[in-house]
Amino acid sequence: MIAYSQADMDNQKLYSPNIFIRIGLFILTVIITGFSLGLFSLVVFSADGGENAFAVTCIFFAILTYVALEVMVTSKKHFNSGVDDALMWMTAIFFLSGLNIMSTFSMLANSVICFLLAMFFAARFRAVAMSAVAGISLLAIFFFTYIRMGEMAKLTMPFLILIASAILYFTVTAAKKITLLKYHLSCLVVLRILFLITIFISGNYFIVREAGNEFFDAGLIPGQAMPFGWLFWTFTYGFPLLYIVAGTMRKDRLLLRVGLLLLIAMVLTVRYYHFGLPIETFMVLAGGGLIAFCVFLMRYLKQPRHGFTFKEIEGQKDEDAPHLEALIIAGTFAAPQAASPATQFGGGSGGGAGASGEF
Amino acid sequence: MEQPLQQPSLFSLKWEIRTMLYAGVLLLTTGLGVLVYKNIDTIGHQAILAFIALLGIGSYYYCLKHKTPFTTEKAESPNMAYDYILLLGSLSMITFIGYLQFQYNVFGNRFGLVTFIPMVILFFTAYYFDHLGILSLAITNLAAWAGIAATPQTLFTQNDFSSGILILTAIVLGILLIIMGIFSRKKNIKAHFDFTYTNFGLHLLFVGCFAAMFEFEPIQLLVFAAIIAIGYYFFLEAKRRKSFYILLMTTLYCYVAISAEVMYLLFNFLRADVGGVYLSFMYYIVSSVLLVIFLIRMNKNLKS
Repeated sequence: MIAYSQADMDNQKLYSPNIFIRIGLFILTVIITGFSLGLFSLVVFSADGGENAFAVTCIFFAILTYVALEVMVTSKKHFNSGVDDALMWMTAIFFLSGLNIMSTFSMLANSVICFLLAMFFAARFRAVAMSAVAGISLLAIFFFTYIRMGEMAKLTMPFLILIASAILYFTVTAAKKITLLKYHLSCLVVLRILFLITIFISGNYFIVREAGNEFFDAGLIPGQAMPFGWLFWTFTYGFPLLYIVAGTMRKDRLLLRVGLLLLIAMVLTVRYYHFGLPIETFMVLAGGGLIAFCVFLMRYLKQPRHGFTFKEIEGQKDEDAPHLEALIIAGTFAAPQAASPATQFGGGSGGGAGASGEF
Repeated sequence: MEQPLQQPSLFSLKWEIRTMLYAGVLLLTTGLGVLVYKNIDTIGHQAILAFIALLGIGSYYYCLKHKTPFTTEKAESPNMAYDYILLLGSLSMITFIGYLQFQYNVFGNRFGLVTFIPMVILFFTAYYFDHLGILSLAITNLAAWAGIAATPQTLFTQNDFSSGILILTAIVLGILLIIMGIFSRKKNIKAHFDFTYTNFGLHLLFVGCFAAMFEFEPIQLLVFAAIIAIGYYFFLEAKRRKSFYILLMTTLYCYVAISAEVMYLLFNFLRADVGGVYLSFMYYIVSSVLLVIFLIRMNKNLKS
């Protein structure tokens, strides 16, 4: 099933260039296939084309890109090189567009096709992003199947997705011990992250209330409580905290980080419905609280306790991190606004966080 | 007995705590910055202002007390919180100065002192306390003082590149920053600042030249030649530093410039018709294939 030979994978003989080269190769491959499709279409139906001709061209190009993918992977051993990533996406996009231009497919049918395609790519080419697509389309299949069962389904939809995600999460977590999957470990990691997030999303008060209003015409007016609201509030508070506690106790970095990330979503949800606190006051309080918490944590962990430290572990130094961090700081803070050209060297409105307005 | 066993299982929270500290500083300073402007006419705003000033002074005091002695080499920060406290300090200081100007017009409207003074403070802080993040803030502030938005997201969106002065400023500033990078490296004064300078310089210079290609049409070929020359310089730099990042950026900028020139020649100079469309499509396919081969070769070259 896997396109690479076992010896190549074990001895790391695959062609996996640096991340920046990968980005470049991805962009260039997309350009090549895109313009090839354009040129082909121009040549073939310059007079009249019609939708069907274009649909057939799309399918034809899906086959072409797939053949190119197979060649690059089997003979050149490309793996995560940008070329294989791009060809996979182009194959899937050409194929799905071709099918959908040709005739109309239901959302369910599209989800099934998506799932099968993504599963195949993830399995054969060990594509991490494709495994996430497969996970999402699997949940979409559940969603669109269940929704056909009428009114009751609409009310219980969050529970279905929640339970499905939880089952999938535990399955995927257990699956890393299967030797057959030992070359797909990073796919499994991504799927774990995905299902942890979908568990939270399907139980999140904001998502359930607003999505229910939007898609199922639940007709809730602003301020009106939702049936079983208390349950969804429990989920909203519970899951991030559960992840963080479980992540800390098991020393599972993935659980811990997803928990911390979802903590932000939890805080935003609570703020959306409850506190009339202005955003800036909230930011000051939250920021001060976070810094205080970190200082406390660093004091507490001055000597490593319970196997935790805040210091770098020898041999795990990351050389590029400071440069990346500097760029993020430049991007998110200050944002000094440039002056209008008329006031060269001597313009600029307030530098510094938050300062705004012209002087 | 179990000591050797415990060592590898030690779990580092370094990046988790760093991220939280960063988010904390971001929230706190942004919140304070908004708060002080929203409460201008109330009694509370004096208190907020005093708080911001105290925060700034307190943070600088802490950093002064804990800093390692000044060196022209890379100074290790004494502890993890130090970097973020310094960031908090300089951002509070800048907010404070910006507010003073806004409310009392302390610096008047002369010489762009409003952006100049924060810039000086930021550069001084970056060098004296050795902080890469504050250095990049200082560089964006320098650009703002010159009239250009140079943060990663605003470089392409908030600048009006149809203005000749702006284009020239970008080019001059870009060259200046690249020279600063070379200077840091050659004189070994905070040599690790080199990359930050070069990075900002590269983008400003390329974007400036690219805009010049279209704005100053009579000397277009000259500007185009300049871009290729700059591209060659950065290509050598990428090889010397073994930097894939610089290689990719240089390749993409040059490819865009070459493609633009080819399209210009094809449609504006040769006045091609439909046949030109075919030709241009073929150009993109062939040139991209060539670039793919080039990048794959370079990957091998830089790795060795």
